[in-house]
Amino acid sequence: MRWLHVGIKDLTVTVRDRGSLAILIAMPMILIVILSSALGNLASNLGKTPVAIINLDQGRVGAQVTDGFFTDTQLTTLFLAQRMSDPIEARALVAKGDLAGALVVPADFSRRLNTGRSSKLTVYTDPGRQIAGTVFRSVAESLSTRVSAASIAARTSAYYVAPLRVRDPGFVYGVIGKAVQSASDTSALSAVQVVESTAARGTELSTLSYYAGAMSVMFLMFGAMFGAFSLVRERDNWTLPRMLMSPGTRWEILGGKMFGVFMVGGLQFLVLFAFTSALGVRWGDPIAVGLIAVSTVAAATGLAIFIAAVAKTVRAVSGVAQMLIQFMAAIGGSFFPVSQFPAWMQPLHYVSVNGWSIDGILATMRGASAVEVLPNVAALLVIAAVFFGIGAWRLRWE
Amino acid sequence: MSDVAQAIVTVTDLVKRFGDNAAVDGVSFDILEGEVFGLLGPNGAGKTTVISMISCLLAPTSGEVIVDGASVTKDPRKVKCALGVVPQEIALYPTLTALENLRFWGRMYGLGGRLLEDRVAEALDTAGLADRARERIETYSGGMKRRINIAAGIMHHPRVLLMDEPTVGIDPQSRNHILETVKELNRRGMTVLYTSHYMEEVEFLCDRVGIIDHGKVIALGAIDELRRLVGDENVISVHLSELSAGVLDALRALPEVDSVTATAPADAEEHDEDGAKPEADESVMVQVLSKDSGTVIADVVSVLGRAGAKILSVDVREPNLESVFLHLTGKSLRD
Repeated sequence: MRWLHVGIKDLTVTVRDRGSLAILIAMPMILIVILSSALGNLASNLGKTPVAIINLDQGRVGAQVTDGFFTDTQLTTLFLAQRMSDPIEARALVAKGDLAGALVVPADFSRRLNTGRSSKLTVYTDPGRQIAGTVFRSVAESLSTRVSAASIAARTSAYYVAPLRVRDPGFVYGVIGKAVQSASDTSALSAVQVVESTAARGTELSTLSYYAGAMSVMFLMFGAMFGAFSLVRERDNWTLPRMLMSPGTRWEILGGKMFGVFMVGGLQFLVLFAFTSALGVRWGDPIAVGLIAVSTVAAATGLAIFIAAVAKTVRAVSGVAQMLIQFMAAIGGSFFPVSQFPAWMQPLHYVSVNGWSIDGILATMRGASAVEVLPNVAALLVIAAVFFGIGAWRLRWE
Repeated sequence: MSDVAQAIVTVTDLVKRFGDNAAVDGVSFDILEGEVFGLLGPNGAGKTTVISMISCLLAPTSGEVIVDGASVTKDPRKVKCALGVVPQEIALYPTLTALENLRFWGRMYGLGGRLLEDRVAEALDTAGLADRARERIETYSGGMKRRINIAAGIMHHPRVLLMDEPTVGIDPQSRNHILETVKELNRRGMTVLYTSHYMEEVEFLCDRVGIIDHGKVIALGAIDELRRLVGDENVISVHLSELSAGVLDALRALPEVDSVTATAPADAEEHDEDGAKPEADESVMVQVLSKDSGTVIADVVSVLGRAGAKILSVDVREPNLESVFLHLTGKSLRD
């Protein structure tokens, strides 16, 4: 049980250190409050809304509906649209919060409208971004209205003009104009219906909720830095060699050090969880949150051993840790939501602890169950194992 | 010490290399059960590396160490259980109290429950700090930290106690307390390996001494045996306010002078109560080794007078471990 004594000792030493507590507990609390107050509603303030356009229609009408998202000045100012081919994948991305919405034009859209039948456009929206979702849906409705009008106009002109074999263009345009006028009739507009579907269940995520998760994860990584500090300091101050001269094995001592980092991280998360919950953040299913928290703290523990192995001195630990933590925070979404990144950059968040962890936390906040966050948990545990493996292999004991 | 004492530690042809550098180069000695064995040598001689190999912290490049019948390479756990180690550094947690530190180190040696509490109380009593047990180590003076550092090493009643320069950087009062503590532990039956570069401490404590320099044991035996290596040479110690150029060469040129060295005076290494060094002292202690000290002392004073050196004190001593080291290596222990 030497590992237990080493872990409890490390927890006591950390709790006694006011400087560490200020960074690990007070700083994230302050940043969560400041960032959420300053940035307000992320959906309305943080640039273009990312959406997917899926045009399965081979005809001209589908293209008329979707091209506007890439060519219309107003729409390109509002939306960052990307063409996709798979509606299921698009829906999944909306469900994860990577996209604010998706518009699906069905395969037989042009054919049905040209033959006088009704059709449907499908819009997926992220319930976590109500404002952006509403705007996107309104735009889709507006487009459907135009298509309906054009369809009716075309059908009317065909109906009147074709049997007459008229050569006067003015007469033809007059007829079409009449037809378009008739398109303003309410019942005619129902030729195209917009069917809205929310892509995931759950409640709207406030900026406070976002940063509660994002900052908690980032400062759990700072906990890893303090864990690495502890290992290197113990080596320099001869308490680690003294432990090695006791009957305990290296694995018992390393296990104890890891247990200490893990307990500090767990305590840190509990305090931040309680603090943000008191501010009104709803974290979601406790089991799912617990799984994500435990796996994130495990990854931070592995990271601590890795940093201690890579950096030989306290000063080097500070440099290496800050570089790694800032990089992972930046690409993992601790500063800004990944959905605000350029499309090519978004997948990069999966190479960070922060990316997987924040992804999981936002999912639980949107209502995901423990089973649904298992991929995130597994990814975080794999990262923990890789960090620990390299760290334990390269760690200098003497 | 019993007349039929057996070796409890046997070091045989021990070598430790760091790259091309041999920090320890073929060291051999025995430590008899119940004795205080001294390992005397200047800083960097290899004393700490020897202790690190005996205590299983460093693996030897070659050679063997047997402690209480167990090999450090084959049965390190048994060796560790038999040993108590007092490192040269203060290996304690400054933000924990003395009580918390001792409890932690006791648990690392497998102590628990009532036994742990009894041993903590006993160790605090030995350190003379029972009344300050609940204060954080960071509030202690250098000497008090050293005493708790020793207490942490004796909690499990080891058969052999390894003490690596336990009095470095402390005030004379704490040093005396530590030396008396070592004597007391030895009286209770604990075998002690004591390393130091302070000749006086080793002479005061040790039954036998190994003198180590550049990773090799250059002399080994009881203190009287070692003194006889020097023969009837005496040490003339002259304390000068400063050292002028060419003075040492002039002294070496005197007839009947065997060797001359210059070092900082011993008290220049003393520290105040907090272990901090006093202000810089430019004075120098010149030591002259001669079989005819009665005649040579006048010549020495004359040479120094001509060089314009200000003599603060002159002292002639019988052979001691310092003169043994000087005789064997031509340099001072504090070089």
